[in-house]
Amino acid sequence: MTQAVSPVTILDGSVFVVSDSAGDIAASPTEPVGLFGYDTRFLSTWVLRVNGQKLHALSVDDVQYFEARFFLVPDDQAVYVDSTLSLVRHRSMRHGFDEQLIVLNHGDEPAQLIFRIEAGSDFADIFEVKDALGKTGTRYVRVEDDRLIFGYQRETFHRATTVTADVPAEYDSRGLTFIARVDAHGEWSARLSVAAAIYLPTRGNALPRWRKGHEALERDLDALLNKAPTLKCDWQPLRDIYHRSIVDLAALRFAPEVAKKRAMPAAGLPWFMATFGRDSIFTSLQALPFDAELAQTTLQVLADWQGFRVEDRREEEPGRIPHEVRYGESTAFQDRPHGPYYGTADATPLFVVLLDEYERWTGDAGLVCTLEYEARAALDWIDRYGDLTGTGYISYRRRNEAQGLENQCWKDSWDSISYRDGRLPGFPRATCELQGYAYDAKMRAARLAREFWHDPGYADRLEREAAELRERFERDFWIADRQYYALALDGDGGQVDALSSNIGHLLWSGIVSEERAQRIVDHLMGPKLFSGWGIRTLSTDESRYNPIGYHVGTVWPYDNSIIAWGLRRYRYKTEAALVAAQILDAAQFFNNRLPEAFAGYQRSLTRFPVQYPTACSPQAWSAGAPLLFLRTMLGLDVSGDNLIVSPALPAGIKHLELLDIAGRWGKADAFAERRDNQADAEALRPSPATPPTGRSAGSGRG
Amino acid sequence: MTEDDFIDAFFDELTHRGYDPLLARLSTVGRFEACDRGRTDQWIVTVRDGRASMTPQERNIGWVLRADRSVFNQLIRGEVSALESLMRGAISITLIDESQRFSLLTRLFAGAPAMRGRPGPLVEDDHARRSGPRPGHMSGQPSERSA
Repeated sequence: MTQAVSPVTILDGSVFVVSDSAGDIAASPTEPVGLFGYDTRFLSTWVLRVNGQKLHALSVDDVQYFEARFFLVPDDQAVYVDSTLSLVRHRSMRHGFDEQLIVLNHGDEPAQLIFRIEAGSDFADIFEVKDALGKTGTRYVRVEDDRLIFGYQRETFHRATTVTADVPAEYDSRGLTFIARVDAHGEWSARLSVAAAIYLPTRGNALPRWRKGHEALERDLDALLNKAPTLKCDWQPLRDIYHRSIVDLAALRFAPEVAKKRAMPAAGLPWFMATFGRDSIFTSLQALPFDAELAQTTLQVLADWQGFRVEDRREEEPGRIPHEVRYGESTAFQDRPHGPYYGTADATPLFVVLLDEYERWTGDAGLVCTLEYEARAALDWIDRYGDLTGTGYISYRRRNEAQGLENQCWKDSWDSISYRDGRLPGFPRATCELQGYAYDAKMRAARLAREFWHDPGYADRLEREAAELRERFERDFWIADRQYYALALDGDGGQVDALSSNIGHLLWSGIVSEERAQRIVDHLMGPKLFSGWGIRTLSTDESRYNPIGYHVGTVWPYDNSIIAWGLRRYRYKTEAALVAAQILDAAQFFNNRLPEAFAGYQRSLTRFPVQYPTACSPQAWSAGAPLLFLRTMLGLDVSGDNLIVSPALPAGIKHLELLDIAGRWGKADAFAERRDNQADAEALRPSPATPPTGRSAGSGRG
Repeated sequence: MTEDDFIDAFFDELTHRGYDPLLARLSTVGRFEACDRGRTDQWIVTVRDGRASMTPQERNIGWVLRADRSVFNQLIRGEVSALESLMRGAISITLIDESQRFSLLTRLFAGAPAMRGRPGPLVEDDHARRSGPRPGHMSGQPSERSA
């Protein structure tokens, strides 16, 4: 048949539903379709039939992230336009999801319809879906007069899904059946509800009681959109991309137990709907001028979960900020070390960076004082536990050999850190950007110590250590004959000499000397790293370069947004605007929603950005990237209690306004006007000179 | 079953530790309940200004953390984390004061500062007793609460 196969996803924080375009769910063990919540699949089968027939999707309205409307006709009528019967499935998030079935009879005769919903749950852990693993515990089904309950138990671990309907229905172990009588030209409706439960002894269902329905979610989204600064721009796609980013960040907001009703960003759908140290921090940094609450919550949540003792399996250490917090069966039974897992070398210094940037932007000194112990513990971690080799650099080597991450930097796939000839270095590995983060953390913490913790001695010490680190870094990481910083130092202190995007993060951290900055910019903007759609993760000259390799040649919008921020820091306004323009241009090819990564092919080769096959979408730090690009293009920064605006727009954008930017100044506006200067325009012109076919009209560039 | 029992040593250390900056953000009163073969022992712990102390009676309990004695011992031996135990259903936490956060309460299982720098139990091994369940250390009274 002509059934469309593209999945439809609706979500509310870490609870989400993935179905086909008719609204049906028929999950295989390895497909991420179904109702998921807190890392468990609560519903794996949900197939609707009317009079024994499946339904055919005419269209889907999933404009709101928390609800979707499926417009359907019985399958044998699919080829006819003049169906006498149509159905709407209106699905919206609640404790699982609600589904309003609406039947419209367009005929002159009454219709009697038998509805059948096949339902079932495999209670797969998200990691079991990802890795196709089996179940250990016992599933049960309980049929009651007015409900159907699927459950799963393994010792004291207990999860359940309850299906109910607001019309008389017959329930059996595989679903429910009900009848609709619809008058001629009449309408009939019924509401189905699928509720997920995590049972804890004496506490009953532990899932939040405050889970909202779609009406409240809609109000929340409206409030969020109203709170976000207003964007005015003569380049229409930017307005669409901006709106998409704000909505996606709203969708990915979730309230982990510790944060109560406050929200922080989950990392990405479908695999990473959880608290992630690194992703949450970067997203919060990107979104600061637009929604500072994300940063506030992220800081509080990560502080609460900060490690306090040495534990090898979960790689916990005193002061270490967690990598990932999970709630599923595989975590509960220690098949995975995520309760919480601490195997990250960058989240800890980045936590300090975010705390400082948050205060600079908001003026919230209270949080800086409240989290003084945690910030100091994080700084102690850098020196005491992060420095595995005693050389004064953060490095990593996993302590959980079976389950830990080999690479504990943002490029965490197995082959991401290599020499130019493709060899993989030994451990511990000290990647360059980690040293930049440590430098920045110490410099920023010195300000916090002096201004808020009233400890000038500590501030002096941090600045001295930062200066020593910078000097050491310049000596040990700089590859003189290639004129860039090594990707890493290997276990013997030797340089891992691949040219990578990591050097761009060094600009953001400010560790790069002024004299060497131009060399770094030349590399970043040169043909080996710059694809025309952005900066690749790895240079085309490297042995492991692969344009569709996860961290070895793809272009990551988040990575580029941080690099552009770094370019601005070193006053390379034009280059920063060009990077922003290229990635924003690419966004148009993805319905204004930037994916996690796209291929690193040269722009002149593909003429459109090729999506990386299994990239998460939406993904928080990709949704955050356009926001940081806006900050970069407008040159937004803080000086004292004032908002600084120093714009540099790319060719194609003549006018840009961001109104009601909230910060320590209250609210302020930023305006940018681009003069039609031909020389400037040439410098900003993206390659190729002619726009690729298929791009939206009106981009105004190229 | 006889096994190393760290629970009394754990509470003894916690409430005689003195100031611990790790606990400074906790301002709370809660009750631990350890269950074993129909018997429940309880400890009411107050944390103020970074110091934990044992209280015989307390009206304003903010939370109750309840588990089998064997699960408490697993936690104190460092074999399992509080979050893993919670998600497994092996411990239950009742938040009477909704402002309390489970993630912060897990700091009560940080153990003695001297023990935090290496894996293993939260208290010294030689404080463990080779015994079965013992009467409640401080309250001395079995809880009246039932499962």
